[in-house]
Amino acid sequence: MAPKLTVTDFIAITNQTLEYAYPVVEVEGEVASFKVNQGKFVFFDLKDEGGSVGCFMMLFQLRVPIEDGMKVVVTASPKLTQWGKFSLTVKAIRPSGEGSIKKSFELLRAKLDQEGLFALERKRPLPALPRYIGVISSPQAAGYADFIKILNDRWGGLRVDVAAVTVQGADAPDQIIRALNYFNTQEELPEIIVVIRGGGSADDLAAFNDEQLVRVIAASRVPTITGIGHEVDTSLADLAADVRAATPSNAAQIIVPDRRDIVRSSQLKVQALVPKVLGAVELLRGHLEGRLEAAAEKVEQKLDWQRRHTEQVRRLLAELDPQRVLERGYALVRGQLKEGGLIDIETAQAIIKARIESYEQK
Amino acid sequence: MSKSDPTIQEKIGKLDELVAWFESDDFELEQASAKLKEAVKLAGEIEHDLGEVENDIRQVKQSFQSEAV
Repeated sequence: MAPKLTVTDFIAITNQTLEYAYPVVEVEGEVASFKVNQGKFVFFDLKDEGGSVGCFMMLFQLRVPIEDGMKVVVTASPKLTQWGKFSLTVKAIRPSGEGSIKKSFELLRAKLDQEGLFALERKRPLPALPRYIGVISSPQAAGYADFIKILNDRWGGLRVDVAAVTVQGADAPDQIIRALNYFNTQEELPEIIVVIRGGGSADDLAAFNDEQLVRVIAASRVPTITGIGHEVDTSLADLAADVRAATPSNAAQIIVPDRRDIVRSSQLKVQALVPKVLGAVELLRGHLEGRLEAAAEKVEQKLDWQRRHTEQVRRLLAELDPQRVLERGYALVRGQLKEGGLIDIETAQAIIKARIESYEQK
Repeated sequence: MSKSDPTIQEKIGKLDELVAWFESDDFELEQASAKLKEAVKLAGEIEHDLGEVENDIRQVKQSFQSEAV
């Protein structure tokens, strides 16, 4: 005999049965009649060629832009409402298929770009020689191994704290957000936070286009660098980070210099000092030589002047020599200058003795 | 290295300071020889340190999966 139930009991039993049979399901379909009520509740239909099912979710759970016509996969629990309407209570939704992923990406990109999250003015430079970095990645991933290998090869002495998270799938954005919050709330902040993930399909990398994750990266107190996927992959997390590295290996190359370059550069710096010192010595020598030459020239000038002066004095003295006067025809008279006095008359050629016949004062 | 030892970064910074001194107006030939010796010593230490020091990589103990969404 069929059980006789109240409507309330019937709904409750149906929901229990559904919960037991399908606690969580993933359903793929095309979005139709998408709407947001009271700024909190999201309603849409998920349909394909064979049917349609109503969906409900809270707005805060909507992490990527959705619009009618997009193909999506919802993670949901089936439920019969108290009004007898069957619907899927959606916990997560992600675009599915290349077209929808691209569409969702472009919609969110335009929205966040308009808010200025990707503006170049927001970008901060990374410290040139960090001592402490925070790494967010999956330690099992190839991209992480590449990053660590290049980091160890290039530099030493770094403190590297690694937050192990899943970097793919529905849980990835929240785990990465928690890791970002962890590093940003430490007493001693890392100087750089690097988010690492190796290559993958567009679906694999979809976690890095999560709106909340992108916002947390943009709001990070600590400068961020992303090394996600390959060079051709650009996620919204890349655009929000302070620096985008093309790959995980490239992130390591950006974060630290190559120790060989530093050693070479240190040696070159020191080698360049030697000619500088020698040049300074040469300059000083030249300066001293110049001063010595100037001093010698001054002494020479002084001696020359002295020589000329001596010559002039010599010539003057020569002019005053009594012999020269006598040679010009004059005579030197010595003796008693009075009448009858005996005198000597000296000429250039002779000394004459004579007596004065007459003597008068002039 | 003990805690009081300068780090590689500090040594590189000191070397850059010394190199800058040689280019500056403070340059004096009387001090140049001692400064040059200091620069040579630092360059040697940098080479030695960089060849020897390894990175200290530690996984954070905290789980990032546990918190409810």
